[in-house]
Amino acid sequence: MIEVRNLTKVYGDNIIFNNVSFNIENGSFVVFSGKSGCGKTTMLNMIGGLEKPTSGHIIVDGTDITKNKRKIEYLRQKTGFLFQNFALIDNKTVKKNLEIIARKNRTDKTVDDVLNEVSMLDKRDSMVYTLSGGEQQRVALARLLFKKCEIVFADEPTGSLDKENAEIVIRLLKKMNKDGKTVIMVTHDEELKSIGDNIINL
Amino acid sequence: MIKGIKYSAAAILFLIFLVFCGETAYTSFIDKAFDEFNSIYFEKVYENDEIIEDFAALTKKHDCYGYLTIYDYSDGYSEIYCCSEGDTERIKKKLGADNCSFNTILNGSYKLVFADMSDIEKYTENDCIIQQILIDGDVNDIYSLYKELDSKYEVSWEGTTKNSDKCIYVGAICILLILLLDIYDIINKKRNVCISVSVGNSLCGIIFKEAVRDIIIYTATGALLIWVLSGYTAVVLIKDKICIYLAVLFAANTALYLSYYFTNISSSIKNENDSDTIMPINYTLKVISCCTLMILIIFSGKIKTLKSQYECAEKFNKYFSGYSRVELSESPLWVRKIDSYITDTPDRGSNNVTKLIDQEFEEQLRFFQLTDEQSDIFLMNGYNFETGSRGRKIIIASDCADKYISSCTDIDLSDKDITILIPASYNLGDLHAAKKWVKYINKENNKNLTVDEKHYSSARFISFEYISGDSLIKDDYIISSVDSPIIIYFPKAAEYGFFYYQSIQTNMSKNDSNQLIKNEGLASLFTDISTVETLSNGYMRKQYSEITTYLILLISCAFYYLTSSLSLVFLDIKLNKKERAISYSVGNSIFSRYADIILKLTGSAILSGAISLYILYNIHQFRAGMIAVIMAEVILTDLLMLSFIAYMNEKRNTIKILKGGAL
Repeated sequence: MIEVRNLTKVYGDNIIFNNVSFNIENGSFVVFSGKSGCGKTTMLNMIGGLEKPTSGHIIVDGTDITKNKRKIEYLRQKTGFLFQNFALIDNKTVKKNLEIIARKNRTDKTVDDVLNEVSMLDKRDSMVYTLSGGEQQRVALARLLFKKCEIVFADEPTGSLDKENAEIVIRLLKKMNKDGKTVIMVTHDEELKSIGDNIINL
Repeated sequence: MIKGIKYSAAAILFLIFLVFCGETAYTSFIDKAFDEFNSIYFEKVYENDEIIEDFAALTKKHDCYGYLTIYDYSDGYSEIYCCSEGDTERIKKKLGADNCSFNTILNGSYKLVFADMSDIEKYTENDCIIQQILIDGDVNDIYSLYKELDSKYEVSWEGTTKNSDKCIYVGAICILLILLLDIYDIINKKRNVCISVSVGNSLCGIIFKEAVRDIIIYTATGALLIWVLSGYTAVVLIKDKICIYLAVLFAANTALYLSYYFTNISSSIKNENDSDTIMPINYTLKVISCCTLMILIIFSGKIKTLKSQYECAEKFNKYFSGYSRVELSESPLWVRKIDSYITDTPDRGSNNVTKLIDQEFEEQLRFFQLTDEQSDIFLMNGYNFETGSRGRKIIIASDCADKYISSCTDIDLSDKDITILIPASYNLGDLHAAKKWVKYINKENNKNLTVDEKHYSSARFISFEYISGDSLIKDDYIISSVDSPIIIYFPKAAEYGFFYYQSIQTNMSKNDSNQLIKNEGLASLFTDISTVETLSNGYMRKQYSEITTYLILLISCAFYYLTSSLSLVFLDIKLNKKERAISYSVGNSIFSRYADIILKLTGSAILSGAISLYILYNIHQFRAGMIAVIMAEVILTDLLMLSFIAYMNEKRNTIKILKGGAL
């Protein structure tokens, strides 16, 4: 379980959120929603260990990840991220982008397996900058499928995609949730909010 | 790409560091010896065996340790450090050196040999002189040893002027430039590292991998360069120094990588690169390399001069390879005698001093006359008879220099007392000074010498110059080449006491010269004898090495400039691709899309030109026209590079950046 206790985040004079608390059950599909600039992505990044809160605690399976840097690294090994901007290395091939995951953190699947799942096998040796936005997001999804993870953090995963590609992303996220993974997604798309078990309005 | 640029630039900086520090390594080594030991100097030439025997006995008696320095010129330039019994390893450790031979670009080859006292005979067989003893131990013991030595020999404590170690500045600049490239590389890779961390890779592991790769590549590059340069510079003497500099570089490099720990991962993933930090670094590197390149190009005309100087020395060597240059100076004993008269008897001192100077002058003339009787002799010396005459292109030549002069000028020298050879292009002041000097010789010697004037077109000659003032080599004669000088040739200079010159060239051997001084009891004189071959070879090596060093620097600098410009253009296009795509989408022309980088490239070239002009102005080499031409060439190269890369980039459909994954 993920427990968020009295979390506060301040950027300069700007208080993003103050004393926020909630719980996320293991295996659930949680959607963070709210207006632009309310701190949805910041909250996601803090739970995922990519950003530090100003104060408060985030307890993942009994471990306070705001206290222990080593635990954050451990947590990252159990988490997967899907970013709106795909977070791919532009000047490397699709295959190389998948292979940046350390061997110990990979699933039993091969690069070809996961690329096949997202229908990108034919682009295996293409440079990332030559791909379209939808194709890049599918590579990011393949990377997510290639990595061992228990919690998936998706930040506006369909924000820059057409309907067809958005559906592929959502279908895969749902499948991962069905397989027992916790999915935390940030979106401002009203239609997408409905797919979550829980909606947390920030 | 960035890694490639970084490692190439680091290799060039290593090269510059090793060449510079290798050249100064020998001087630093001598400084260290004087720091670590007390030096006792023999003021006269004594029998080697006697000194060696006394040194061995006295070090034992006074519980000191140290070494005798034997300079052996019989086979190149060897220094033999003959160590007190059983102390060889201790001395080696203290000096941080071992038996080695090395070359220096400017001063030729050296050989350092550490030998035990028991092996000394091997090294004293050749024509060698013991000049000094270096001692360490308890201060009182050293003093007792000195006193005992002083009672038997003419000795004195020797102090040196320590040379400032400029290696530290060169090393620091090289390390800083490498670290600047490291920062650039680190910033450039920040996003990729953060992506890697976000997929669960350990940041510690990434840092370790990056740091170790840098260490391996820097060490391998350094080792390779040391191996290559060991034949050309004294890198063998700066092994410890190189290790320290590399350790500093590795530590600073790793510390820079640790900066990844302070990176905000999520914001780094969002932002492609930190352009605000990268671009100023890139422009700084470009301006530095461009300035250096401009200055080096300004000096490119020097290559032709260096080449003709080399050929001139080669020709001189052919004519006089069996000759030696004998330079006379006051013996230390004589200096001390004069000093003691001045300080002890100030009222009557001047009279005695005059007597000593007269005696010294007589002994000098006697030495020259005896040498002239026993061997061939010649002058080919620079004119230094007027105050401030360093600028005069006049050579005083004599005796057997005639064939050399004839072959260079294609003129047969006349049988008159004096022949003045005048080049097609000459300075009126020089000619006036030459004629004035002949008049002076006539007057001084009460003669009416017959003079013939001959004209030649142009030729370069080797002469022995007297360097004084703020020159690097103080109060010493050195070989140099003069382009088309006025030559005053005297067939028989001995009759005029060699015009008070203190140096002559002769084919008498070094041993015979020293023996002559001993046999004739010329106590006021001290000789410094070098073969013409050694001097002209050294001169040729110096010119050759200057040509090589210049070319290496020019190529390195041009490469550094091209890579920094190329990376700058690449990065600018990468960092501003979104802005340019937007600009394209709203219908702006290609020129307006790239106007900012065009202005920056032009501005950086103009800035480089301005800095170069300022530097050149300060070293009195102001050449605005040439800098303007180079600046235009630099701008043209930059713009051509930009046009090509921008064209290739535009072909990739830059508007795609606005689709989907726009940040």
